[in-house]
Amino acid sequence: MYRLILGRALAYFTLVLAVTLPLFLGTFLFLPDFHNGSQDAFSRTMLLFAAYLMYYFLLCTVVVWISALAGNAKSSLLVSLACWVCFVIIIPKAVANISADAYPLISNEVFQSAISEDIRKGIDGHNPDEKRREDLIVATLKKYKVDSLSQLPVNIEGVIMQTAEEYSSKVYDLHFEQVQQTLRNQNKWVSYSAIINPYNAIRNISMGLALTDVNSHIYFQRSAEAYRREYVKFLNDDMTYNSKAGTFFTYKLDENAYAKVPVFKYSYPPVKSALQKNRIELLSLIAGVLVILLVIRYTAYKISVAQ
Amino acid sequence: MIQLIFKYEWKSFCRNKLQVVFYIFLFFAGIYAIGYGYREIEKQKATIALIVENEREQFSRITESLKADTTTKEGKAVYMRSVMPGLGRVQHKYNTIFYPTPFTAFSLGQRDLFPYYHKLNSHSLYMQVFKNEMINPQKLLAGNLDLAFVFIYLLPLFIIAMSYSLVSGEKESGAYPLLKTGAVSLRELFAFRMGFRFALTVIPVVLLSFFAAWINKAPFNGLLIAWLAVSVLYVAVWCAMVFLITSFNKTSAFNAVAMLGVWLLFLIVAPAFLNAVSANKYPINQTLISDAIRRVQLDESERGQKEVFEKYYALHPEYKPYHIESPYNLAKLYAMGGEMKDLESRPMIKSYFDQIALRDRFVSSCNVVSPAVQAQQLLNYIAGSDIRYYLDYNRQLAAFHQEIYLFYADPLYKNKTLSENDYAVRPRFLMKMKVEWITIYNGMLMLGGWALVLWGLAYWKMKKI
Repeated sequence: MYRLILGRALAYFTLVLAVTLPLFLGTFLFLPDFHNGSQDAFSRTMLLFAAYLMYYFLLCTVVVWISALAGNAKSSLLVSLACWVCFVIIIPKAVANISADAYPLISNEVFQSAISEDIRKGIDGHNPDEKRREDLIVATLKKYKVDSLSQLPVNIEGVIMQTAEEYSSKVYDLHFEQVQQTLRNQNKWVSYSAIINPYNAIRNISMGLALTDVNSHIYFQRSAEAYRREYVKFLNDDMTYNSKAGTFFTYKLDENAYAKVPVFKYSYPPVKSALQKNRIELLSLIAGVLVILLVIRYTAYKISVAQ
Repeated sequence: MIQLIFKYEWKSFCRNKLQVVFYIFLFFAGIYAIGYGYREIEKQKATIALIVENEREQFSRITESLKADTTTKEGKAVYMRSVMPGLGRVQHKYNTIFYPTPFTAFSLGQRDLFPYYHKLNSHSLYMQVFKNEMINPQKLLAGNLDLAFVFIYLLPLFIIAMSYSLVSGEKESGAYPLLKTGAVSLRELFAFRMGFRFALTVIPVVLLSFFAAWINKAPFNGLLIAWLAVSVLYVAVWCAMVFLITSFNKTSAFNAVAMLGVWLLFLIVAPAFLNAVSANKYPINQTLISDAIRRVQLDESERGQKEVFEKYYALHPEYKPYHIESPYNLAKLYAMGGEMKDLESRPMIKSYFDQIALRDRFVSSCNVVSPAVQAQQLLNYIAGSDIRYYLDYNRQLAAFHQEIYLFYADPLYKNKTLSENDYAVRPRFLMKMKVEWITIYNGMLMLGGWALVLWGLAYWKMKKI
């Protein structure tokens, strides 16, 4: 019986393969990245293909196993379809909704007020912006061993702007990290649901490998923000070292300065990052295949006795 | 006769444990969905209460600061912030709120996708209008498990599970020849049995709807009746559809596959297909509007200022006589720059919203092919979470922004200050929400048409079995 179930499952799996294989081959042929010889795109597609093979094998085996257990074709069909509806429609929706309930995101109003408050009063609440500004002026005078702002070899306005920028970045990082932690907590539930739901597993793996998931978005956002900070620092430093105090509204960048502005270079997160972030999903898929094989082996005897 | 058939159908239903479990599951799913919708709307209400309170505090601070002691440095600074329109135009925030209706929790629709409130200042509108609450994309992808979801997605499955072997089951169990000898024609018998399934499905619809109304303190009015009518008509469409498939007299397995195929077609394929076609037909290019939503940056040099003033006074010559050289001209510069940037961006933003409206209109005109899409849109419309309300809110918001703009810009350009009397008559936003009953009637008519045609076909086809 074990061989029969497995043989049937493999037969259906071959049929599924006949449909999916041309699609993956098409991806190889038509994606421009492959023609550029991108190793990253190649390994991502291969991994995606491997994950889908596991997923389809799991589905074929489960469906054949259900049909072996069910008394008749009618029950087998109904149970299989009920599983499909549960796993593809109900569970993903329920898990996403429940996790959002368990870890609620704060409203923009609260988020923005907290950031403004931290910038105004200081992260610890005892370091207001006015005091930070005064302390900075004193520290700068001390650093350059001068008594007045006019004696400074740098433009204090540039120094103040850059320091304020760094402080506000620190505040933003702190609050964004809290938001991202909430998102991670919410998504963790979705990842754990992959243990019982192969659809959630393959969906997350697909999005992760295709770089269309939340993690990839956050990675891009961080790269863009790092670039913005670098760019702002470049402008502030230019003002600090090339202008005099009191020229805030009149100082102009040298016409050649923009040539020195760093260019935004973005590189995709490595493939292993997608695998690492979706390790629960991957392990669940592998475990799912192993478990169903074991279950069939264990129940095959009972099925053959019962029939 | 009907009583007898219903009595035995009830007995047969109770004997099938899987069906009973599914039925109970429907109630639990419904109760969870009601709780979910309620919590989502309560969260939005809490945010709304917070911004309303913050706005109230802001204006009470402004009123207080008008009486501030201007002989002190702090007092003068506070006073100036309130009377100078050039400062107030960027510092003062005005709420525009799209309040949920008592029925919104029933069907959350577009409520999570589009912003339901804005905090506007008098500066460039488009810089402010595209901001939204933070939300997990995974949640947006999954969608909401609200009461409309239970009705639109799960109820048809229950009807299918109960009815796929309505005729074929009798054949497969060998009872069919016996039924043929009965006093009632087979057509009538099966129609009554389908009627029982319809009645059984309508029970959770009515009970859950009333429960949702009670939880959300929704009044018993025309909208609640419309909600019930649309939901019941939707159940009728599915019962008729299932009855029609059954009338083809095929095996139970064939019926189950055919019914689930129709379910997939109406609920998964048709919406995805309509969305894909409408997105392709009316594309939206987000990058085009990205320039319009950025902060207004202007050349503050003397020459740059002169250019902006000349351009603006050509548009509004009524303000030219008030022009003076003043340190507050930077505020004027940015107010004028903001208005001109909005004017320049308006056609682009209009086309963006027009595309959204056209997409919606396209889906609405095509939804005749899927009663599920039709019913979902109708339930959203009744609940006040349909995209048409959002577009309407956006139009009202733009008109309100013009009021705020003039509230500050007019005195600014005329070199005047703001007083307590001005603040007493400051612009206030109150969204006007108009339910077009003709939309609901037309939708109901369409659903009723589906049910009648399908039932008629099935009844005619049943004659032959």
